[in-house]
Amino acid sequence: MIGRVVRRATLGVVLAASLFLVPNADVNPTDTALVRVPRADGVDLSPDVLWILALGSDARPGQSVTRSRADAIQLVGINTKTGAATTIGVPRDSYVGIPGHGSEKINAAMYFGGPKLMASAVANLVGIQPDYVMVSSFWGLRHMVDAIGPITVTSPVAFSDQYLRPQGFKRGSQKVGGEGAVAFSRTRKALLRGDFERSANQQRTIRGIHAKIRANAARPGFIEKGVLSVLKNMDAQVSPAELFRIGQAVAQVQPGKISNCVIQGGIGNVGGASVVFPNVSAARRYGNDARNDATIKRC
Amino acid sequence: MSRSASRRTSTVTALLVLALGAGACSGDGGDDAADPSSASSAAGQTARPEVKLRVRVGTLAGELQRQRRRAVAKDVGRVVDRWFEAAYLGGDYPRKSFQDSWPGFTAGARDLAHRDRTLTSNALLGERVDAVRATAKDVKVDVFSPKRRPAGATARFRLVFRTTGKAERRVVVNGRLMLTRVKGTWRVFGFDVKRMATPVGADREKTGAAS
Repeated sequence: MIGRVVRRATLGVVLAASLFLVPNADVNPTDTALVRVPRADGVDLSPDVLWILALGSDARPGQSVTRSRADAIQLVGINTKTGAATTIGVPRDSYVGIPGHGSEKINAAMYFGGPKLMASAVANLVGIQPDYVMVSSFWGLRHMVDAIGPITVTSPVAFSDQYLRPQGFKRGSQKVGGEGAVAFSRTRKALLRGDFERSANQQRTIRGIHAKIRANAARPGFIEKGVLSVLKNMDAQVSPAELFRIGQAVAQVQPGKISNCVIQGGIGNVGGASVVFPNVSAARRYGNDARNDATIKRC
Repeated sequence: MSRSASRRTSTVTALLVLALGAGACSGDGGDDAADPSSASSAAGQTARPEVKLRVRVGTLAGELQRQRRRAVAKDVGRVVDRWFEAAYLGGDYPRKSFQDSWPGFTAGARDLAHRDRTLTSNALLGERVDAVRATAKDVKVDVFSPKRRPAGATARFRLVFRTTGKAERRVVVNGRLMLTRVKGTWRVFGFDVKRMATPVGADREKTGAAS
């Protein structure tokens, strides 16, 4: 009996609430409309598919950003004709041939010969020669993210690092500022798959930065100020006009057309140092797949 | 109606006409009040002055003297206006060819714009239109000027025009053009263009009129 009364009362409340919450079906259809606004966008850059090697240098304050080791190595392809983009992550400890220096961890290439040698080492592995190399320090990344505002990163697992991020990151999506973005991109030891998962997290950070840029591209001066921040915080080695064009191209990449892959490999030991023996055939396959359209169909 | 009330009405009408006419030069780009076509409906069928392009300086990233900022905006505005004319407002209507709709665009941007010509020009309506009349042309220029040298610009624009003929429409084209300087001349290398067309006049009565 009491149960029935409660059920009826509940039903009454739900119905009453529905009167307020359910949209009025009597609205004159000419008074409201959902209209798709046709939109065209495009950016002319040469070549159509642009390859940028984005490097995170582990330089400390006072050290040369372009002559330190590269902690983050991401080869980013942008197809300015289709709005597609892809990121190929290279584990920092990948043991590869470095032109003129024998076999070494790939991150040493920048230390030996700067961004150009680093580009050659990545090109040897993936089979794509980058058009641009952009190098940023940790604090450079931090400043850039702070300049555009908090970004959203999505982590498949919860993890923390007692030095970089004691409060940790939760599983799922979360907003992070510059400091958080750096911690998210640098943490390695706390991750089960170490270097590989860290590289994937760096791609998640890039995706978060891109989403922020894309969402704010139409805001007056947003791209201009963002590119200015890149100029100040990154060793881009390109003209400001060129960087401006790249910035606009990045803003037009469509989130649904982004593919990310990390080059996998086996863990080994060379001379007492832990290294990754990269799966070279997979790296080449990614390169061949993405070279002409900046799309990788399958990792 | 009393004489004083009648005089008040006439005065209000005259002020409205003046205000709306002036709006073409000084109103806000996002406000339909800047559209002098509203003036004609309020004041009856009078000759309408040609709408002038209104260019303003938007944001500045970097450093550039106020005077040079204005000069950049003026130059960029000129490029945008040439596109307005070539793509939408100019030409002999009914118009079939829109091949020359993108002066001031780089070759690559021209190809991309041609691919999307139903938005980046008046190609969708051209053959069904006898005349086109602009009612608002606004451009706001954001300047990218590191080290006091203008290196890039974004032109945020809004063009409103009316078409007459078989297709009577009020068309609003807005969005952004991105420009850099090539050999001393501002050239459009990228665009993000939106277009909305609403039937007006006789077409308004018809349902589902194509835009």
